[in-house]
Amino acid sequence: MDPDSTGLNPAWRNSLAYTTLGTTWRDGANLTEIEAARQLLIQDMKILEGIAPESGAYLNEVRVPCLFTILRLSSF
Amino acid sequence: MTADGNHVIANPYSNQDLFWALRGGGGGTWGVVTSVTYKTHPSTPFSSASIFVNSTNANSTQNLLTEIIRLTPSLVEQGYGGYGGGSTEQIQLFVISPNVTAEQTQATFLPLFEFAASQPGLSVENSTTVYQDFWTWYRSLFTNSGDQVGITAEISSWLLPKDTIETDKPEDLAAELLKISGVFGY
Repeated sequence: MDPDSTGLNPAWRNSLAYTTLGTTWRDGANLTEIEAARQLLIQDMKILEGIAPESGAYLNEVRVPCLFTILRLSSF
Repeated sequence: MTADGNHVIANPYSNQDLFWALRGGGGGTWGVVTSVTYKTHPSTPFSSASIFVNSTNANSTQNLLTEIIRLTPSLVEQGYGGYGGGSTEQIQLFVISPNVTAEQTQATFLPLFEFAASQPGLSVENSTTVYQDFWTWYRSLFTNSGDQVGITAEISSWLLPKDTIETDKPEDLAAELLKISGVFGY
């Protein structure tokens, strides 16, 4: 199949592993707690990006700093 | 159904740009998909291997993760896919391939299983199995996954290129992954 025939992120084509990270918080957590949990995730993501700086992410599980930007834009 | 309220048909001949984006970009991203036509394939058996490890020895964890990373290119080459990951306290990997026999799976994974058993501080469960089809494998792992929808969590991800896995030292890559404060998926 022609790789260009789909909108798949080309980074998938030459990747062997897909690494995921997550952070959770309790139901009813306030914004300060949520932001603290997110900061942990952002720090951990720097490790993954450091391993392969030129790589990419899956749009539905996008890397945290990008998602942060999108959330900020949509809330204004 | 696109955002402007139109019900459209997307295929290689009409709305090609939407069809291109849907295949790879996620169906819900570009509109509500109300009907799809898939090309299906005959059901096939899957050969599987799994290893679940609890660890009280961080060096052993890192050594085992190193071996899993070292094995990864050949697993992908043989058509395996699945889930793995862990932390300093636990490592897991469960994969399936439609392209290999039970004997080939045993031969591929025996060295990894033996390595895990040789490391101090690791409690290891491992197995190889053949499932008659994908659904049987899925049911064996995800039977209770329908109870909960939604969780207070945020996830993030990164693709690790073939070049990185093949040219970086597996032990260095393992050490970096284990610096992650939480549990990582691989």
